[in-house]
Amino acid sequence: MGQILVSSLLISALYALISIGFTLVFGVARVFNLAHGAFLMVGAYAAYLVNGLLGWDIYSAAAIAVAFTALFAALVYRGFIRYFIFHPIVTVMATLAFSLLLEQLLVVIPPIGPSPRHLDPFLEGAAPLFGAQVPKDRLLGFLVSWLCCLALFLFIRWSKAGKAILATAQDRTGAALVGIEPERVYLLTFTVSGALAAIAGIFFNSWTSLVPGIWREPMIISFAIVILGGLGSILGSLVAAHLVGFLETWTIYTPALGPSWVGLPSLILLLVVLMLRPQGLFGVRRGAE
Amino acid sequence: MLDLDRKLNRRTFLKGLGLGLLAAGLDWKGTIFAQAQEELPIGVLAPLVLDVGQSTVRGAELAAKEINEAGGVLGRKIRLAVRDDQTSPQAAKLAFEDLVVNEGVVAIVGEFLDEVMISLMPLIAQFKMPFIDTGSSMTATNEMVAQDYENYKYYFRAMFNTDTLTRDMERLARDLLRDELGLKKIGLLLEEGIWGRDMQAFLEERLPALGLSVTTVFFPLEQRDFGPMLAQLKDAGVEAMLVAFAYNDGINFVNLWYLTKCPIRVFGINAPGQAYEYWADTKGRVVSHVYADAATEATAITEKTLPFYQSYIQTYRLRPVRPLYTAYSTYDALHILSEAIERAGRADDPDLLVAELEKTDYIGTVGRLVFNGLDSPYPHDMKYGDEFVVPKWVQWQADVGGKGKREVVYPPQYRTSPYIPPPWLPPPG
Repeated sequence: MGQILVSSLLISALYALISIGFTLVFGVARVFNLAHGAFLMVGAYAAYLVNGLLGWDIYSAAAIAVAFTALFAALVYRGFIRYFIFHPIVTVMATLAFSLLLEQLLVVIPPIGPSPRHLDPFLEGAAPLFGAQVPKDRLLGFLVSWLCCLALFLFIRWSKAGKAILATAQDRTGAALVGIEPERVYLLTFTVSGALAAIAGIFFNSWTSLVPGIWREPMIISFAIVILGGLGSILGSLVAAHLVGFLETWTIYTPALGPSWVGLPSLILLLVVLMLRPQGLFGVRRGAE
Repeated sequence: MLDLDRKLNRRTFLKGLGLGLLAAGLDWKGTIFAQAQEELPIGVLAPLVLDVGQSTVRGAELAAKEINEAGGVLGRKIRLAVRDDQTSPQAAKLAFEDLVVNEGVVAIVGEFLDEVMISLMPLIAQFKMPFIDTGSSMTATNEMVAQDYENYKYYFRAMFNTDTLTRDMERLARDLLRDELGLKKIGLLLEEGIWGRDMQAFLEERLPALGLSVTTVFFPLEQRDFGPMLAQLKDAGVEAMLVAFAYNDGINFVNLWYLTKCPIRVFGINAPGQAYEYWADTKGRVVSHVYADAATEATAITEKTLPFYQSYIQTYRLRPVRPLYTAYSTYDALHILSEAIERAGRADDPDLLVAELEKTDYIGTVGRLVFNGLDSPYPHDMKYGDEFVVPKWVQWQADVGGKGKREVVYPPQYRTSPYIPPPWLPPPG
């Protein structure tokens, strides 16, 4: 059980990081941004280009990749998503198409291509933790994820820009009336979600191989997490990420099930929650809007 | 005038006749000439994105080049038609039909994944297309030959099947793991698919009979995080694991195994791990792993092994720079095929070709190749055994310069080095 708890806490932290960025954009702009997975992929590959191809150390590579992805996300918003952000269905389809296009581009661009690529580990070796040998790399990923969540929380609670995000999420019209420009808030939200996705993407892949399809699985998982936790709720995403992470790990370690069943229990949980509480665990009913 | 006319006419007639005959003669000669020059199309079907698939193609290319330089088959030059199966049954079926219908191939060699191979069996029967499997190992294909010989007799395999592979693993477990290294607890880490399931069935029956305990863990084809699997094997106190990687490249497994200093010795089959580049792919973390292979640069199994190896490494500069097992098996398969066509005297009669293929007794690069008869549960499979062909168990070791080298640790007649445990485990004894 110690092993399951440790493993699930480590993976859940990264799931939380991906889901929070996703839910933040939904909370503010009321759209499912399926390009969020693409941001994760861009972050990981940007780190690979700097680390694997240019030969820089992984820490510098990660910093550059996170900055680059934040900028990339901002550009994708300004140059693309902005034009149809008030059409939720169009946004879902267009951002999905965008992610698929980007994946295909990575496959055909020569320095990347379809073969698996590998990032250097941040830290070599493993540390014993509650009877389990945990690679130090994953512990670092866990710590960084939680620090990011904390920083995001403080940013939204205490900074002016963060409060603007919160205000827009609560009431777009009201926020605009008091002088908050929604366009700038959207841009900021996309930038922040891009950076978070990049961090998750790098740690997600620092112990596994990079292939252009890496965005799909985390995208589907975070989609489930965000719906489970309640759309737009950061706390909900945090809790749901841990539920899903634990269920997945438990499934893998249960001899009767095993890794082939990994996705099923969390989807069953999602189904049950949606039947009993359609707005998700921490969601608010939006009938009045 | 009339006479002259007639003369002229006769002359013209004779001229015309002569020219006509000459032309006819040319035409007749031309046909013979064209027939001699007509190429013999042979299909190669493999996953081209993988190193094993590239090896398949190269083995075929080297054999075709040799055969053509020696005058071809029945005076015809072999022309290879190469198609990518994209590791997908659907794509493989389309490629198969393309080879038969558009390229007019007389036989096909290749294949790798069990799932893809089994999906081609109906096409082999439907088109009566002689097929030499040089990469997959499921026994279900031969069981089809055994049960419905008339339809499936066109299928042959110049490679081990899962039964013979696991019989060899049983031998390795007994001689090396149990008797030499004194290990008792064995783990199986298997790819979730037909191949892995077959391995489980055979090994869970055979290893306990040797007094070894067995713990089995599966991983999905696309698995990238091997933490849970390694933890489960470690919790069970496993001392050595037998792995099966074909589709999954295993690099994430090797990285995690090394970084966590996993106390479990690794043996087994890792098709991507046969590539010489695997040492660099894993930054040398594959050290001490022992994988089954066809041959190495140091194993002169027959007089053909090393010349083939040399011609491979001199011909190909791009990855994979050294042959994987499919290069050996496909090279041998093409020679077996061309000799059978020569014996049959024609290439367009599949039944005759099958009859000749069944008579095969060929010294290839990996040993003596003879196909099982109908008395065997696996007809048309290559015979296994020390007098025929056996796998070689090759260990990744660190060279003095930190580079990777491959040494045979089992069976004893091919041994080039004793087994060396991972750096963090004590040496045997």
